[in-house]
Amino acid sequence: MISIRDLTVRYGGTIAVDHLDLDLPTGKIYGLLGRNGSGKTSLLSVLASYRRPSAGTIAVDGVDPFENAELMGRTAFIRDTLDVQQQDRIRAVLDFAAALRSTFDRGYADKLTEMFELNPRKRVSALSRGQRSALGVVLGLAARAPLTLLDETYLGMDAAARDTFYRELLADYVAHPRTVILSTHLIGEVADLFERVVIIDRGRLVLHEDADVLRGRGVTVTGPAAAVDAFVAGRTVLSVQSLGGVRAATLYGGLDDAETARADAAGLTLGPVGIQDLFIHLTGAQR
Amino acid sequence: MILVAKSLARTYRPVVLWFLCAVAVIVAAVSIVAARVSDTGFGFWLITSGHATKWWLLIMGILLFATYLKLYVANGVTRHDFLLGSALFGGLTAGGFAVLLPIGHGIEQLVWMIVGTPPAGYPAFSAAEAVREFGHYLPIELGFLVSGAFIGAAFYRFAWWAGLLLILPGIMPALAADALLGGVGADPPAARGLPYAGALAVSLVVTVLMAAMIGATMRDVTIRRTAG
Amino acid sequence: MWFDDRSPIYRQIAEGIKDDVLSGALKEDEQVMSTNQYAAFYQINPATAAKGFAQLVEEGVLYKKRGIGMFVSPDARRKLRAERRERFFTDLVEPMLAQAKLLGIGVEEIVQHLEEKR
Repeated sequence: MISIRDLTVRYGGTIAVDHLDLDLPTGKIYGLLGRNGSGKTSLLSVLASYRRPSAGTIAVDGVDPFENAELMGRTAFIRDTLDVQQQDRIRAVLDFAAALRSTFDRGYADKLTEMFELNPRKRVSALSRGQRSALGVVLGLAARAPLTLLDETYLGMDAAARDTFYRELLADYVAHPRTVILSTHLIGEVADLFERVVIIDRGRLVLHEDADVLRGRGVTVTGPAAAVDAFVAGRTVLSVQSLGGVRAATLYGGLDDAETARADAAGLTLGPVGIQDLFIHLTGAQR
Repeated sequence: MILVAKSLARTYRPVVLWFLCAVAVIVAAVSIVAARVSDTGFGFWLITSGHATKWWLLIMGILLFATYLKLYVANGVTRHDFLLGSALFGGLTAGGFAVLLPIGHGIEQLVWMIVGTPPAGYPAFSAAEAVREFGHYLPIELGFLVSGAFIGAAFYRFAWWAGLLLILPGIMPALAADALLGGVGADPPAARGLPYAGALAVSLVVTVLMAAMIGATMRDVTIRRTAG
Repeated sequence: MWFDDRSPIYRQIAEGIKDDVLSGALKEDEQVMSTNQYAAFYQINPATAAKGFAQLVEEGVLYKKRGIGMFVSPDARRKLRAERRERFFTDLVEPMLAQAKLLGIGVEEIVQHLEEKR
């Protein structure tokens, strides 16, 4: 269990993470969703012991990971600015990682390198953006770290490469269970991989929920404006759109059978809301 | 810690070998030319490699923090293990250079004796001289290593202008060692204020103090995002 | 993506397998894919797949043979048919009649249409 209590991360005058409380059971694939600047990367940096919190505590099974050799050795943090030496060839980068990480699987890394069509003799500085992302994925997956943090790693890869990434992530996760936290602001296609979703906005926790439960949480109610207004009164409304006499409201919170029947009777149409849309509404409403 | 030292050694083994070969070749070439031109009054090998190795270590020290710290932490190594491991690697390399310098001197003298006679004023080599050279070069090598590391750490940890300001205290270990103990291998070593024991003590104190400061500042440094 | 991301996937999984049982694509006492295989095939999280299967076990559509895997229950088809039959009238026929009323289509017109299809 990763326990985060009252975590605050400050950069000078800016607060990136604001008194965050979060408990993350290990062994799951988490989607960490947040807009740009929401504090995702800062949170991950603290989890990876890349920085100390400004305030608050973080514990992995009760132990503070900062400068703890065992915990740091079991954590892999892959961020978009790859922490590799630019002049190194890919092969050297992998050799380096394999020498330092006890959990690193060099054979798997080679297999992934081939899958992503990377030339091991090519230098990091000569890689395209998509290839750099692919290298990040190779490092992240082959590390087989019990705590794997991937910060928007797959952005920059083309659709085919992304597909390979999802496939491999899922397959390797099943074969070698570990805690994976995928941070992103583009949910779309990767949402099916999450077991749990954590949404952060402006450094604060918005939501921490089972992905499938979240999928049932939103509902759109469409129909004549008056009927819609009557139906949604007293509920959490995320957004409303009107066109002529027709109104569409997005509600947060599921409807039970009785309420669904009422909606039908009132001539309203109900529709589902995807995680992406829920995310947009939950983090955009205040702006 | 050992893992870090071994990893650094693996990275730099080829570099160090090439470096030393290059120095040896240059020294040999220049010696041959200089011998024709005049009577040199100094040991060419010592001067050249003495300078080359200490600047090499200075740059190595800078690189430890400019380049390597983040690579090691990114691969699961604690800052503590990195600091100790690179200190071990740096110390051993400095020691290695300090041993190689007198050995090279001996070889150079041997070559001179085979070729003819060493030029006038050439520093004589002996076992005692070798030990003396080692004892003088080791603190210099260490001083330059720590100076480089201090400057590299300062620029990594603080803003660029603070880094610039910290260059002044940063060069102290190198400066002190050079001033107090340098010049070995030069024709009559310049008179210094302190006898060897005192000079060694002062140099080591400054070096160790600065090294401790590096450790204290960098043991919880943030691993920033560095572009690319 | 095979699944609609907008409603709970475990429910979609359960419905999908029920459809297969009803259509005969999955026969009674036949072994179904393991949850991990299922997750890999459809590219979804294994825990989500497990939840869908757990629901089916609870409803008696699937049963587990320890150490071997999940199998379709021997009377799954009959049970599902009965369940769907019930829902047929409430979920399909009633709404159809309501719609017909809205459009002014009389019951006799509907019956005549059905006669032709007999």
